Amino acid sequence: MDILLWLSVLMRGLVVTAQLTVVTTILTTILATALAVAQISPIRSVRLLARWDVDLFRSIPLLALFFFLFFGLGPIVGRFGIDSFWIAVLALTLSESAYLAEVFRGALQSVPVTQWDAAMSLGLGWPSVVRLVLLPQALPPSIPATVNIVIGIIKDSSLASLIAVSEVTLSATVLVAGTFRPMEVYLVLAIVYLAVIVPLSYLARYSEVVVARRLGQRPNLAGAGVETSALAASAIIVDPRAGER
Amino acid sequence: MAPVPPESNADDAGAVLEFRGLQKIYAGHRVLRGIDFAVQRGERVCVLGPSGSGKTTLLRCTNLLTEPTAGSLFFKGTSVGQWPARGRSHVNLREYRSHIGMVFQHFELFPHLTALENVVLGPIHVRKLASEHAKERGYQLLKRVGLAEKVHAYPATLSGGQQQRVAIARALAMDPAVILFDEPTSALDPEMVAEVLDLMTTLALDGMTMVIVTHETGFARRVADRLLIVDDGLIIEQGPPALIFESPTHQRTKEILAVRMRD
Repeated sequence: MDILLWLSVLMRGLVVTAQLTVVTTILTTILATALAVAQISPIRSVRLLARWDVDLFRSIPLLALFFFLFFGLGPIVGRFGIDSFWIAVLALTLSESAYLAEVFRGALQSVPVTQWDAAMSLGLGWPSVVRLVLLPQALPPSIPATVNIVIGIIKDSSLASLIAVSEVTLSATVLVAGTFRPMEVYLVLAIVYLAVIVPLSYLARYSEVVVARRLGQRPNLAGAGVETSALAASAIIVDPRAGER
Repeated sequence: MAPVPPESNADDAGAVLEFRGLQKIYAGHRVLRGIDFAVQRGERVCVLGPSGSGKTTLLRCTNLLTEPTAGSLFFKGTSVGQWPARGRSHVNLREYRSHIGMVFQHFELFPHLTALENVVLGPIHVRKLASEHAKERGYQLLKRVGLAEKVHAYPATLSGGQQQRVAIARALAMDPAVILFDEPTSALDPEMVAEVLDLMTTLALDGMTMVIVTHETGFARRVADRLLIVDDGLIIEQGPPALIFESPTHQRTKEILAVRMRD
């Protein structure tokens, strides 16, 4: 049957999507942490630089960034064997890290300033206070929002199909070219994305409850739990990028 | 640990801390208006005064969590800074702070760390002690403040009094030359005040140098070698507690002590 053939084609694409997502997520988390920490730096120029990065990459439409890097940077780095997969990783990382940096910055700034007092009065310096006292308190509450960024990365990685990265959306487009059945193929593609993302939505929701419990606060249980429909669950999750795209 | 009793330091006389002409102006408001203040080794100084009189700012200027607007600060006879002209001296600020313990009104334990981890954070990351050694000492300190069985408990699971005792152990772990207490019992439920005051009394008997901002007049009278009465950014009266309680010379002192006595 057609559908099995389609699925096997799409699965090959999905592997690339997964690679794209994992690599981008790792780099995004690192870059976002650096950008968030830079924004609370005592050095003004460091703060400004990080601020500019965040403002810049939140303002550029991701597709425009893909095209700019692909056509602008692609021919140059291509000579060193860097293909469009890495261009896609770069574009996604620059863009998503700007959003995640805002999440982390908010979390860092929500750590009471008196924690600084306590840490500094022990004689700890700025980098140690950030590393030992601030980040360990700020990052766990950011986990649910981070999972949502990962969901965003998976969805946004579909744009990589437009710069010839053979991820799952491009696989579907190739199938359409062969079958002339766009409606059905793209429906299957949508289901594939749904099958990946809905569990992640649950994970985001679940992590929210776990984190809230760990922090000793009462989690907002309204709408949580298995009895809730997947769509309702994903609607509850606060998307830090809501209204910006 | 084991602070040296003051008697054995007669030859080591001299102020651990000394402020001359300390002023602090916050947004045009003169919080401290010229304070001269010295703490001798092994001395227990209690600071009394109404809310907003500048007591907390005095402590925060002492370990430079707040930068003074004017004045000079000396630590064991060495200049730490002179304001406004020169600012902080070349002394290492972090090194200086590591010798000045601080206990806060709201404990300010690190919530992501256990009691023991809170206590050993400074020794490991500031004093660079080996982890095992620091933990052994940390355990001894927690035992000393009566929390041997709470070594691995997180702050959120401890009572206010227990948290404050961990905070005191955290300060002690740095072997400070002096510990500053900023209203250490003000945030506690009444039934927990005693356990913290008892611990502080023990420290005082051990010869620890302490500066204590407090509203606990009974404690101040029992423990202090010297009282400072602070009002509106100035020290209006100071001396041995017996003298100040029996015959205060300043009308404001009578009012301040009267209010506190009624509490």
